[in-house]
Amino acid sequence: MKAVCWMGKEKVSVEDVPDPKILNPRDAIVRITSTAICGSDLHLYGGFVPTMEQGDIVGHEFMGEVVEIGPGVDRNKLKVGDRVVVPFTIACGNCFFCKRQLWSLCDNSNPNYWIAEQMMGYSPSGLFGYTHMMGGYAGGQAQYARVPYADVGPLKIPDGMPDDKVLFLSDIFPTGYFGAVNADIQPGDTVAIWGCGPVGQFAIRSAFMLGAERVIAIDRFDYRLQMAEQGGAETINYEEVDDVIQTIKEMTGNIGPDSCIDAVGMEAHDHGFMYMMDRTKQAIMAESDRPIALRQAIQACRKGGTVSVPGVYAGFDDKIPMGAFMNKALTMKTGQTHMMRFMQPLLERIQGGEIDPSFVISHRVPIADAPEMYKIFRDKEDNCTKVVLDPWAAAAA
Amino acid sequence: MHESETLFSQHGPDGSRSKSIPKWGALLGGGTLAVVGLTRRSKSGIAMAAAGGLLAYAGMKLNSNTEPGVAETSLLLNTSPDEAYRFWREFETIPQYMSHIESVNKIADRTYRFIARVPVIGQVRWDAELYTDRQSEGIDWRSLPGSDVDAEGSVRFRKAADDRGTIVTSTVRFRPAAGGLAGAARYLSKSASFLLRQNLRRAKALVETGEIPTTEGQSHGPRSVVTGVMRSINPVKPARGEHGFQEMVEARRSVS
Ligand SMILES: NC(=O)c1ccc[n+]([C@@H]2O[C@H](COP(=O)([O-])OP(=O)(O)OC[C@H]3O[C@@H](n4cnc5c(N)ncnc54)[C@H](O)[C@@H]3O)[C@@H](O)[C@H]2O)c1
Ligand SMILES: [Zn+2]
Ligand SMILES: [Zn+2]
Repeated sequence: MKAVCWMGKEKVSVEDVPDPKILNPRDAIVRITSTAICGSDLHLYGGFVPTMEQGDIVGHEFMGEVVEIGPGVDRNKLKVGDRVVVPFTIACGNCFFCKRQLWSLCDNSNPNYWIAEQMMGYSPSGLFGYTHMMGGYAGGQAQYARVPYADVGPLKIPDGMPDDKVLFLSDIFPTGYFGAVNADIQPGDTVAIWGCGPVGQFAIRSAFMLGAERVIAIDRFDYRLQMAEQGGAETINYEEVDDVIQTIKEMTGNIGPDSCIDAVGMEAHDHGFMYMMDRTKQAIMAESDRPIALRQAIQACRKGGTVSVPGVYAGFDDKIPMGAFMNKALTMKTGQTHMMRFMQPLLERIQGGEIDPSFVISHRVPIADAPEMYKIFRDKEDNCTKVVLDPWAAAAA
Repeated sequence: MHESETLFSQHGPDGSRSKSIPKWGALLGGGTLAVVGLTRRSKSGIAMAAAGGLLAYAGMKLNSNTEPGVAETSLLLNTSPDEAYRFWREFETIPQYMSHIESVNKIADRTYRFIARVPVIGQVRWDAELYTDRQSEGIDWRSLPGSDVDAEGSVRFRKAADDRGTIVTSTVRFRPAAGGLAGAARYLSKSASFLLRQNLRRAKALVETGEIPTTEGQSHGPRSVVTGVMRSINPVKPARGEHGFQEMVEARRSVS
């Protein structure tokens, strides 16, 4: 089959690899019909997350048809022919964490638990198409994928709903929603959101769903800010203001947003001294992340507010304003999304016509174009917001 | 076997009695290791092995003057002490979750023959006697004279607070080689504890989910030479062999 493989820093290529096989009793094989590139893939692409290996198949936002199931899969939950969206977190359904709906913290799904354990104390769940620290599971930017614990994760999609409408149930819609849930939004609240990428876009819409009255969205790309405005947000282009935090204070009568969402993560961009410091440290591996948005979110948040961090961080971060965090009595919530908690309810919102997630798609291309699209998406060229790959389309001539 | 015949009877149950228990770390499972300079009769004792110093194997026949090594680890299992006990008590299923253990067969009432395959050393055999066996509480075993290995171990099952399941604690005592490096026992204990935890984790996965998570055998693109080498010495590469898939299919999921 064809699969997008990580071949080193800033290098992905489409390779012919063997079709996946059932390796465990509860596995299924899915024939992928649509798959997307995520901001998280960009962190891998940029070489910012340790424990990738050359040849790893990437991708964790995919859907398709079940073509084979292992003998241990509960037939009442999944059968050959089902059309499914596969969540990017891999969870067993039966451990302490799964039982408490903390799916991205599953205790059993990471075969390389010990690596993550060294770094974080305990390991989160395995993830598709991610680092070996997170299990090293082959990903879904491919024609087929092996899906472990197939009777737990995959969400069945009713006939008649096009891929474009449901594909993002695999990650970014639930992730934006989880970001908003973690922000502990009360009716009438003001929420500030850093990053107007796909995750930020869904966080904006989810914040309104959860009762926010005002959403302030921050980015530097006008086309993304426009999309945020279409979702009802007020926007700040941080390159056009002197000081983001000051601007937010002015916009909120100097009280600050009730909650702040960092939908940027470890590759935040900025001008100024701190950014250069972070970039340099990252380059010499003295710091693994550039927590610029996170610092601002903590600084801008109103006293007693909540900071929610769906943006991904991988390691160690400098100059986190703990003094502000502690003295302002803030709360912080974060995590890879507990996917299975949100997929069904959000599918229902899509079915009910409340939202059509396909609005984020800017590019639909054959899988052969993936290497080029990684670059375009990374550099936000060509008004790129979200790239959907067709694993079966012949390459454009 | 040498002077270890009286090993387990001459001291109290506090672990001080382990007198000449040779290398055990390797047998605890874990590694597909490149073992450096280790032969079955190695007198020089300890071979520190491979993989960035993560693991160590001790020699086979050792004298008795070194400090004993102790490996201990515990994990929370989402099951009752009784279920956990029953899972562990089926010694014949051990090869499913302990890497390198090829087979376990009952040879007498309360006595089991373990056959392990250890890199470089080859086949290693020992007979383990259960000297305590308490339903839902715990199991103690020790190797019998004539075995290739002197060791003893215990598994305990304790109900976790708040109905969270069972805390399983597994302990193995062994004696590393004589003439070894200072601090070797501590070093080996650390490695052995690591391996023990790997095995316990696999057991937990089997109990809780009916299978052991793996990515061995999945598809990938071209690997680099470096990656290839790293993979071949991966200390925790799960051993699957003939055990594995079919047995896991038959294994019941004990919680739901
Ligand atoms: N928690 C999860 O489970 C989960 C799941 C998916 C993605 N993510 C993470 O969410 C983050 C966003 O993903 P995405 O797909 O939207 O990526 P993206 O790259 O499309 O979007 C990131 C956006 O942040 C903006 N940005 C950069 N620096 C900024 C700054 N200082 N202030 C404000 N905005 C800034 C960029 O211009 C860009 O528009 C990534 O870190 C990704 O890894 C997390
Ligand atoms: Zn993603
Ligand atoms: Zn789990």
